Formats: sequence, C-alpha cells, structure tokens
Amino acid sequence: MKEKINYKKTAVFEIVLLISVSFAFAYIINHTTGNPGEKIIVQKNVRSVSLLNFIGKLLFSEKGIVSAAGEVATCVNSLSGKSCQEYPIESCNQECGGDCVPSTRENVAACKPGTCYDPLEGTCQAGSPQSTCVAHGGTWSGEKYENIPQCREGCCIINSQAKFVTERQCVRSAELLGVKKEFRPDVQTEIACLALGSVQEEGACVFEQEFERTCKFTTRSQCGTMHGDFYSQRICSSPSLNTTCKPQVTTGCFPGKDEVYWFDSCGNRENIFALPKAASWNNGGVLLKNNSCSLGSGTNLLANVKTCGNCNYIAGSVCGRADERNPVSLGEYVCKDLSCIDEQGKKRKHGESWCSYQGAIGEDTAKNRARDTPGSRHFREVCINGEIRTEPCADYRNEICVEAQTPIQGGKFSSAACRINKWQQCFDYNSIVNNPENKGIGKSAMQAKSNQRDLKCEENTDCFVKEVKVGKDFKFDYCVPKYSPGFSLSQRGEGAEIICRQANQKCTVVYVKGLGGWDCKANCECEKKIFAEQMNDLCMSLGDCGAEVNYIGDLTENYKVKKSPKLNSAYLENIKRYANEKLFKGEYADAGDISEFFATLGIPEGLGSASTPGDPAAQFGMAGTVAGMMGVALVWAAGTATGAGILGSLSLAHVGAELLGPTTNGAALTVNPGLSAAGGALAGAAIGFALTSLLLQFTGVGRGLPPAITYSLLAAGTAGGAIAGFGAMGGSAFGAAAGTLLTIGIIIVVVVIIVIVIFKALGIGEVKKVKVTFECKPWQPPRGGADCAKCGSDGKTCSRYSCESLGQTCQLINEETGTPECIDISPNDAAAPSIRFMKELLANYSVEETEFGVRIKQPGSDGCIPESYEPLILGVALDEPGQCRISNSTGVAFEEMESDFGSSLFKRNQTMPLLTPSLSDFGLESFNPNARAEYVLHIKCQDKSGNTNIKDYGIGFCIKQGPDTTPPIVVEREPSLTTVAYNLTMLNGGVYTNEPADCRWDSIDRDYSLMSHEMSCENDFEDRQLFGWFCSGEFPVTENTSKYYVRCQDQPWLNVSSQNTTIHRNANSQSYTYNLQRTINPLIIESLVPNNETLNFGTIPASIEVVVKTSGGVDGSARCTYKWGNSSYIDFAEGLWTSTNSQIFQTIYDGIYSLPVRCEDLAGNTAEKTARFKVNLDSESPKVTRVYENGGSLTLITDEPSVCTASTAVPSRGANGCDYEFANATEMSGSELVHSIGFSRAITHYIKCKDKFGRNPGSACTIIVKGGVAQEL
Amino acid sequence: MRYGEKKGQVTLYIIIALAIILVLIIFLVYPRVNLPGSGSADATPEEYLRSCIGQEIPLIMEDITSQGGSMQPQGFIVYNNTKISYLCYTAEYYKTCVVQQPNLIGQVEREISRELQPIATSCVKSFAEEYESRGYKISYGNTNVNASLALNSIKITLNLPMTVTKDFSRTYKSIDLEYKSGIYEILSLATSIIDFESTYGDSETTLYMRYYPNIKIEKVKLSDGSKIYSISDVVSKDRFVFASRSLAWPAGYGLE
Repeated sequence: MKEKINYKKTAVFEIVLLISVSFAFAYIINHTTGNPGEKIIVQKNVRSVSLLNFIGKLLFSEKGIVSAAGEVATCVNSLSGKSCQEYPIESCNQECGGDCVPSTRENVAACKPGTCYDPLEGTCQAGSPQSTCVAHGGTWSGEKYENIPQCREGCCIINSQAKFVTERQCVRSAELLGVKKEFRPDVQTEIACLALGSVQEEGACVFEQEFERTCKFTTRSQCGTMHGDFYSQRICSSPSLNTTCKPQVTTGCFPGKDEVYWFDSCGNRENIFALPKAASWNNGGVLLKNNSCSLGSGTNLLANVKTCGNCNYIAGSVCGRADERNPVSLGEYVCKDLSCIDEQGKKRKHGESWCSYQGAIGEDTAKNRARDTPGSRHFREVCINGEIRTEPCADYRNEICVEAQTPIQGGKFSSAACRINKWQQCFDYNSIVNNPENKGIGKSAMQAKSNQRDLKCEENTDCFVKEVKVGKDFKFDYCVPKYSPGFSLSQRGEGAEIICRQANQKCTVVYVKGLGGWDCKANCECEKKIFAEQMNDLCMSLGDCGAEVNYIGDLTENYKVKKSPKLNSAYLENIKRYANEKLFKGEYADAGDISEFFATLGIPEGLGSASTPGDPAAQFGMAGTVAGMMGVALVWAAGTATGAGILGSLSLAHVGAELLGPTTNGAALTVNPGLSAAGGALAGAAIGFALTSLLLQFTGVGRGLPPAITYSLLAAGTAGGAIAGFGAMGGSAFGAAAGTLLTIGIIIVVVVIIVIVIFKALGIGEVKKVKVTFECKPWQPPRGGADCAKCGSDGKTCSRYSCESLGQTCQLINEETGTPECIDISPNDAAAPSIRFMKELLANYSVEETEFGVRIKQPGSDGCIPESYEPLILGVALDEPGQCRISNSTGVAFEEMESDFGSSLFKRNQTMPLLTPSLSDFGLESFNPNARAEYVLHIKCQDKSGNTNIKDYGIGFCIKQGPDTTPPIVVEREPSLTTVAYNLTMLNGGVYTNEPADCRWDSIDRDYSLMSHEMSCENDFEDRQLFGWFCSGEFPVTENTSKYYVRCQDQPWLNVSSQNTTIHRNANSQSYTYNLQRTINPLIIESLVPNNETLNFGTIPASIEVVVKTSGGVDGSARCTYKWGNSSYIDFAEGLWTSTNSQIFQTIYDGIYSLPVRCEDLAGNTAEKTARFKVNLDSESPKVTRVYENGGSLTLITDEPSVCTASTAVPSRGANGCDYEFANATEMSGSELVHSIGFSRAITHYIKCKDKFGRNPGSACTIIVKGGVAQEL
Repeated sequence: MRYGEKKGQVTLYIIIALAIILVLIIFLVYPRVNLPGSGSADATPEEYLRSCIGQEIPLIMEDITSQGGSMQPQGFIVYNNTKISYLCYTAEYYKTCVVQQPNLIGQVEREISRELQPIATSCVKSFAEEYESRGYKISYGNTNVNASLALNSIKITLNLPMTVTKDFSRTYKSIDLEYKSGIYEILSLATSIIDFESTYGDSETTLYMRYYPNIKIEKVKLSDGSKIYSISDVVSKDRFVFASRSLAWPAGYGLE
C-alpha cells in the first residue's frame, strides 16, 4: 500500500512536472525567439517611411528649393546691378541696394513680368519687368507676347530682302533707309517670310549710261528709282533687250543666295549655273529655282554637283569656291557639301544632330542597374556648315541627351536635344508606397500600391524599377533614375550622403542551433556575395554612390559591408566597362514620348512621339520663329504632302518649291519637331513641379523644419538607413518555424521534454542573429591628382564636375576664360592631416590633453559620464580637408577601421554624435551604481592625397550608469495638423517621444495604467527618427472635434515584475492632448474660369489663363491639379496652396476644350470640376462679302465687325495704290459689318478694313473698286 | 581785202577757236576742280564728318557689342577678362530669367549716341578750325548726335545748325551719315534668343544658323548656370556678345 501511494505521488509529481515544464519550456522558447519576423517587418516599414520623410525634409529644406516653395523676397535693384531678383528672405537685404519687398516677384508691381514694347523701334520683349521696361522708354503690358497686336510679326520686304518683324519695325526701317516697304501680315512664320524674299519679282532694268544701253538685274521698285525700263523675268543679256551685256561669262556666288549663278559681262546675275549652258539660258528669261537643274539624284543630294549650281543651304549645300573635295567642271564656284564626318566615320547631313556620351548611359537591363559614371556628361553634336559643333548638356547629368531617328529615303536622319533629366520624379514615385497614410493597410492593398508605383516608374522614360533580390525573404523594389544624377564633389556633400544612404540596408540572418550545429534559417543569402552586389547595384543607381568608376575608368569603392563578402574582382571589372565609351558606341537615349513635357505648358499632344512627328499644322506656335518648333516643323512639312497643303493654304505653295528646289529627297530635310533645345527646355517648369511635389510629400502639410538641423546627427546614422523592404524575415515568422522544428519528432511527451531539456542544456534551439549591413556612401574620386590633365583629352568640354572626378586634388582653373584647365593643386603634399579635438562642442564637459589624444570628463565626482539618451557631440578639426575613421582597437590600419568618424566626405571639420554605450555593452547588465567602464575611440584621418596618420588619436572617457527618473516627453505628433478631412472617420496617427517608450491613449484623461488603447511603438535604439521614437495608433474621428489623451512610459525593455525595486519605469503623470478637428465644410471649387464660354482671339496661337478658386475645407486654400489630354494630373503653376490657383496655357488653337481640375487641401479634402470652353482664333483680316452701289454711296459688307478706310489717291508709277497708312485714309462710316462712303465710278477706291484685333491687309487692299467694278486681288 | 587784213582775220578766228576749246576744257574738268564743297582738300562737311566719325565707329561698336550692349555694364559677368552684361538673369535655380535689358536695339542706339557725342563735337570743332584756316567762315551751334540702327546700316544724324561761307554760303540743319553694318539683324536675333531664355529657359541656336547661313552663334555654358552667347555675321564681321542666366541647375542634388 505504501508502495502504491509512493507510485501515485511520483506519477502526480511527474504529471505536474510535465505540465509545468511544458509551460516553462514554451516560455523559454518564446522568450528566446519572441516572434521576430513580424516585429522586424513592422519596424522596417515605419523606419523607412520616417527615413524618407527625413530625407525629404533635409534635402528640400535648403534655400535653393525652399525658394521654390515661396520663402523669398524681391529686390527691385540689387547691389550687383540686376533688377527684380528674388532672394531668400534672410539674405535679401544684404544683396539689395534698398529694402526688399517680402513677396514674390509676381506680386511686386514693379517687377511683374510682362511684354515690353518699344513704340519707336517696334520691338517687343517677353519676360520684362514693368519698371525696367518703363525706365528704358518702353510701354509695358501684362499680356502675353502673342496677345499684343503691336507685337504681331509679319513679313517686311525691303529692297527684295524679307524680314520677319513687326509692322512698326518695318515702317521704321523703311523710313530710315528712305525706301519703300511692303508689309505682309498674312505671312505668319519666319520660314515662309524667308522664302518669300527669294521670290520677289526681278528682271532686267535697262537704262542709258554714257550713251550706251546698259542693264542691271534688279527688282521693279529698284528699277523705278534708277529711272530705267523694267523687263520682268528677263535677264540683262537677253537678245531682245539689245544691251551691251554678254551672257554667261563667269560663275559665282551672290549675297543672300545659296546657289551658283551665271554672271554676264556687266556683272549681272543671270540664271543658276548649269552645264551645258543652254540648260540655264532659257532664251534670256529668268529660270526659277524650281525649274533649274537638279543638284541631286535619288539619295545622293550632290550627284550633279559638277554641272549644276542649284545649291540648297537647308538641304546641305551652298555656293563656295571649288576645291579638291568639291570639284566643278567649269569656273571656280561650286555647291559645297555641308555635310560632316563624325568621329565614328559616319557621314552626317547638314543640320543633323546626334548624341555623344562619355561612356555607358542609362540602364543596364541585364544587370538591372544604372550605368552613368561619375564625372560624365551628355553632349549634343550638330553638323552645321560642314563643321561639327559640340554642345554640352547641363552638368551633373541634370540634362540628358536624347535622340530620335527619322526614317528617310536611303537611311535615317538623326535629331538630338538636351533635355531635363527627371530623376527627382523617380524618387517621388516611391512615396506612393512609403507614405505614412499606408500604415495599417493590408498586404493586398500594399501590393496594389507597389504595382501603382512600378507602373508610374516604368512609364517615366527616365526611371526604372530596381529590383533587389538577395533571397526569397530579402527582396524589394525601388524606383530609381535611369540616368543617375551627379553631385558636387567639392561643395557640401550632405545631400549626397542622404541620397546614397537610401541604399543602406540591414539584413538579419537567423541561425538556429541544431544537433549538427548552427543552421541558417532565414536570409541566408545575405551572407553571400550576392548581398553586396545587389546592394551596390542599388547604391550606384541612386547617383554618384558606392563602388563606381569615373568616366576615365578609375574605380573607387565607397561602401561598407559587414558580415558579408565584399565585391569581388569580377563584379568590379564589369563595372569598369562602363567607362569605355567604345563599347557603347551607337547607343543613345531614346527621346520617347515627349508630349508629357509639353502638356505641362499647355501645348497639346500634337507633337506626337519623337519618331513620328505630329501634324505641324497644329504647331504654328513659338511665335512662328525659326528657333521655335515651327522652324523645325516646317522644314519637315515642306518636304511632305501635308506640308505642301499647309503652304498652299497660305498661298505659299510655291514657297516650298522655292525653299527646296526640285530636290528628289525632300525628306532629307526632316528634323524632328519638338526636339530642339527649346522644345526640351519647354519642360523647364516641369522640374519645378516635381520638386514642389516632392517638397510637399516629404515635409508634410504645414510642417516646417527647425532652423538648426545639424548634419552630424545624420552622420551618426541615428536615422538609420533602410528603404521599405520586407526586411529580414519576410512574411513568415521565424518563431513558428522554430516551433515547428522543435515540435517535429515529438512522439512521446515525456521523451520530448527530456530531449528538450537536454537540448536546452546543450543550447539546441537557441537562436543567433547575425546582422549583415551594407552602407552606401557618396562616391569619392581617387586620391591625389595624377589624372587631372586628362580632363578634356577626349575632345569634350572639361567642366568642374568632370575635373574634380579625376582626383581628389584636381581643380578647375580659368573657368571664366575660354580655356579652362584642370590641374593638381597639391602635387607635393606628403603630410597627413594634423588632428585637433574640438573642445568647443562639449561646453558642459572638461577635456584634458593626454599623450594619446584627449580625455573627456564630466565635471564633479569621478568625472565619468552617465549613460544617457542624449548623444555626445565629438568633433575633430584638421589642418586640411580629410576623411576620418574610428576603431575600438588601437593600431588598426586606416582602411581596416570599422566606421567613419563623421562624414565620408573630405572636410576640415569632422563631427559625430556618439550615443554613449551602455554598461550592458560592457557586460554589466544589472544596475550597479558603482559600475564603471573605460572607453577609448581610436581615430585616424587621411587627406586627399592619400596621406594617413600613422599614430592613432584617442578620445577616452569612462561611463557610469545613471538612473532614469524622468518620464518620456511627447515632442511631436503626426500628423502635425489637427484638422482632418471633412468625412474622415478614422485616422492613423501617432506621437514621437524623446526616449524609447510604450504609449497608450484614451478618450478620458486617466492614469497610464488605466488607459484602454495601446499604441504600437518602435523602441530599438536604431529606430530613432528625426523627432525621436515613434508610437502609432488608430484614432476614431466621430465628431467634429475629437479629443484624446496620450501617456507614455519609458524603458520598455524592463520587466515590470522585476524583483529589483530600485528599477522602475516612469510614466507620464499628465497627458498629452491629441486633438482632431474635422473640417466643417467640404472643399469646393467656387469658380473655374474659363468655363462654359467661347473665347475669341486675334492671334494664333492664343494664350489663356485658367483660374480656379476654392473655398471651404481647412481654410479655403488648396493644391489644384489639372489633366491635359492623357497626361497624369499636373500642378497648377501659380498659387499652389492658396485659394486661387492659376495656369497659363500658351499655345491654344481653335477647338473645344475639356479640362478636368482636381483640388485637395491640407487635410485631404478634395473637390473636382471640369472646365469646358471653346476657342475661336481669328487670324485673318476682314473680307468683303458683298459690295454694291446705293444712291451715290459705295456700300460693302464685311465678314466680321471691322473699321474700313478708303483712299482715292492716284498711285505713282510702279505703286499699287494700296500702300498707304490706314490712319491716313478716309474712314468709311459703320463699325460693324456694313460700311459706306461716297462713291464715283470715275475714281478708283482702294479700301482696307481692320478687325477688332487690329488685323489689316498691310500693304495690300481688302478690296479695290475701279470703274464701279470690284477688282480681283 | 588786203593780205594783211586776211592774216588778221585768220588770227582772230584762231584766237576765238582757242577760246572755245579752252571753255570746253574748263567745262569738262569743272567737276574735278577743288571748289568749296567738293574734293578731298576741301571736302564737304558731310564727307569730312563721315570720315572723322567713321574712324571711331568700329571701335565704339566693338566696345559696345562685346559687352552686351553697354559701355559700362551694370549687371555683368566677367568672361575672358571682359565684362559682359546679363540681358536676362535670375539668381535662383529652376526658374527662368528676368529680362534686364528690354528694347535692346534702342539701348545700343543710345549707347552709340552717347559715345559719339564728344567725338562728333570734336570732329565739328576740328572741321571748323581747319576750314577757317583756309579762309572759310564757319558758324555752328551745339551738336546733337542721334544714332539709329536699320537693316544693314547704322545711320548717324548730327543735329548741327551750321553755316559755311566762302564766296557763297551754305546752311545745314542736320547732317546724315550712313555706315554699313549688320548689327541690327544680329540684335534682332539676340532679342529673339532672350525671348526664349526668359520664357523657356533656353534657346535652340542651331536653328538660327540653319536658316541664316551668314550667322554663327556660339553658346558657352558656365558651371554657375550662366551662358555666354556670341552672335556673329561671318560676312560683315559684326558680332554681339551677351550673357544670360536662366533655368540653371544646382550642382548635384541641390544643396548649397
């Protein structure tokens, strides 16, 4: 019996043991693993969001971009002699000769830009401030250039020369020269005007001189002044004229003409040179260009050059002296070939342009990384007049060169342009994913966001999606620029550090100890070479970051990887290839769809794609000048059926022929419309939009940056560095895997428990995490300056960027001359930097010099520094710019030291905030007021020439534990604005604390322990963000005003049930009030102008301003965007975040328009409306639809309201009677459609009519009534 | 009739014939005789002043056109040891420029007038002194110079009340001088370029050269975002240089 009772007791004990050990063991497992996967994901997400916010705030807080956001003042006359300049508010008065006006330029009347008209000269200048215009004797108008009648250009013909000028300019020139002029307002493009000049009526002017019948080949009007007899379309040597001039004596060039001409014995120009002579004799008649010999044949534009002088400059030939390359069969002049041979030996046509690069460009699709090398630049080469001109695009790859190949007969015609590199937009797209509003959304919703980001990224020709795929758990995507931007290597590079740090990553490799030892269970690939390779691929795609080569092939490795292999030689050799431009000859950046650029400035999509130009009839824009797209487009049009139609509509069908001659290959003239630099530059404002968008994204609504942000804070990496990535653990919680592992094999519970206990004793199941890190640093040039002289040796411009990329001590001199030079400024530097500790940064500490460096002491008692969350700011001053590194051990070589001290950039002062290590880092885990630890930081520095300190410089101090007796402080909230959207019911927000803490909230102000809602907090030391440690929560918005109370408790790692009563957590005794206020009224669009109306203009194209006014919402102000065609929504150019947003569209044509507008205010309230309007453009002077005599009056009816005048003066010989000033004739009665004047059949009436836009027929008449009959004009 | 009387008649006829021939010779060479108002020794005031002022025109034009249209540039950049006026300027990044010199043609005309004023006064004075030493009587008032630019020419109007007297008197109210120059067309091109710079931030210069064969435009981009434009006519050798700073990009990422 006794034995039975013992067995019973034993069994019960064993059962109790079994159960309790099971629980105990489960506790042990849980405590060890703690389900890290989920925790890491959450931490990574929020950290990345915060980092991006921080990056954006820092990047865009500097004055260059802040000024774009409006914090500027206007100086009417600056000390440096410039007028109407905007400067940052804080520095404006220093720059200005007087007081600055605290407003933007557009809001200062004297500086408002407009059009300045000079009434004497007749010239107009766009973009002129009012004060400057008036001071120079001009008349200022706030209207756009194209809307001012006086600025409307037409064709002025004086002495057979045609100029595209205003009417007043034409009149003035004629007055000054004392000659007659003809002004054609119907000719609205410069090209057509130029062509018109070549088709003036010319002929033989025969007159007596010294008893001889001589002749001069000239125009009719010139002949009139010579008092000769004019024979139209005859040349002077014509036999019928019986002059002393002998035909076809010599050949030569003629000023203002492209062709080679015959000249007679009197020196008169005859017909275009051709052999045999009879081919161009034409029996003494003028032979038009179009009817003359054909210079080209098939695809060879100069096939008949030896026997035909019908050159065409636009097509690539012009009259010049014959030489070996350009022989001729007769005479000394020939049509010279204006084509060029490029550096690849390829023949380029006159006017052709192409891109030239310094190495590889764009995306390496095989490696999924960007290839542009530091120091490289894009160039545009143009063949003009037989010479190749090289034009550099903007440096630092802020512009890229794009090219389009247009198919023509026999080949392709290349057009290139420098255009803006939209790299900022690529980073902006990532905010779709990394948006604070995305907190708490589900996985599928996040995937949708990622897809949306990827789509936008791929649609942008300047961006691509960089996929980082280290392993199945460690992978993420990021939108990066194809043409990575460069940064200034000599100026402050903190912005570069911020950009590059986006690629800093931490990968936690998880090992579990098994029977056979440690097994890797997650992120195992991070310890292989692929980790560094993938991360460097991302790093170098962000900009001049990481391991890269400069454009001449010198590699420097600017990254740090820990616990994983470095980049191997094969990988680095692959990168070096990018500097070898020979390997990438023929590659170019495709122009792609350029319509999005033009949409931002109101130019419709009519330009089509770069390879398929749109209908140029729609592109009578850019003031119709040769420099505008019209100049490009019409050349294309002239050679095509479409173009012929356009010219025909202008009664200039013959112009096309005159412009081109009987060339068989009109398409050879094709230049791609819109690819001119002006076309590319049209997108100038677009980059401003992108930046504004980024600024708003990153700074958040209504939040400004504190003025004193120190870069040292960043340098310490307190903001960490990680892009959103579903980090180390992916979606699966490792804890579950461990549990699975450990639960596998459990057959008999008791056996398992025993096994488990044994395993535990052996450490089986223990988890070990290895943190593999990659640090992406700004790219640095090689040490020294051995290669400085190579700058420009490739025939390309040597700029500051390219020079400084060749070596640390390379510097560009003589930049202000035409011959800059890149030199080594420290060729003989052999001394390492000397180090001095910056005591001034530690005002509250005492610093003693020691033999190895310095020792920092806390004043009082033993001088040891207590643990604290506040960092120590350490700094060293060098006697020359240098890099510094630190190590915990002494005697470590510079290259082997663990971390940078301060920045990786070369600076004279390097600073670094140091979070004092805790005693637990030294193995002292329990609170012990007597515990002390000695700590020494060993520093070495290196200068630009590579000279390094041999001896360490030590910074020593001792640490003691300090009790934490203060509760956390809530320093900031998110969102900062208390106002929320009108219909919001739930808000994802949070608070920042000054130390790691747990936080709770409640609707009642009560003790922390009683608060009902826990917040989700990030409490690792490295989770610290700009404002501290962040805790998030979901707050219901149930009424117009919701008030919540938040309290926090520090030291979240402490066990509340600890038996050590000397340790306790500090909770807030007072709450932080978290207010939410719904906007009372929704945001509405009060007015949208124009809308539901018809607009009439007298110019082509016209400019309109769309103005949208908002009210309601937070305060009536909003950011409004519009959609043009298929574009995405684009910000209004003016008035962002005010109640009146506006946008000017400068190239509007006839048609019906529908413009969707969307507005959003600070709280997220939105409103939408679509503007619909019709545009009528009147480009013609009034026409007479009916004319009749009525009771002694001549009555005529016009097709539009107009004013008419009539002249009855008899014209002089050679004149046509219509060449009178409108204001000087007799005005007819009637100002609408019906006009009348006294009439006599015996008198000829020369009548002109002018519409309300000032359009009149110029030197022609609207109608001539002669003998009672209306004459055909 | 006696023999002696016949001889006398023949002699008389010979004398009359010689007189007629002499008159004819005088008549034929009359325009070539140096009379007041003609010839290099006694040139007309127009000719004298044209020559005197004309020597200075190229120098003045070179100074004005190489410095962006001003003899004393105010807002300028130094390039190749020369101050070059900004015709369009902004101190900011990412923004188009503000026109600093609207009415460029008028501005150049005023500069020419201003520079020629003392020269014209000096030339008039030297003309008066020289001709008075030759026996002329010269009276003149203040000289006012007005320069105008037109197609292919520079027209200088000297508003100069002057009376020149020797044997007969000639009075002038103004004197017009004309010099060949292609600067008007070049300044028109510059105005067009500035239009593009102020509106769009850049200009396409190669297109101008494609349509105007005599024109050569060089554009140098400096690292601070400034551009130096040089427009020249390869035939007339006229040239105009100016600076612009529009739509400039900061170095690298935009932090200064």
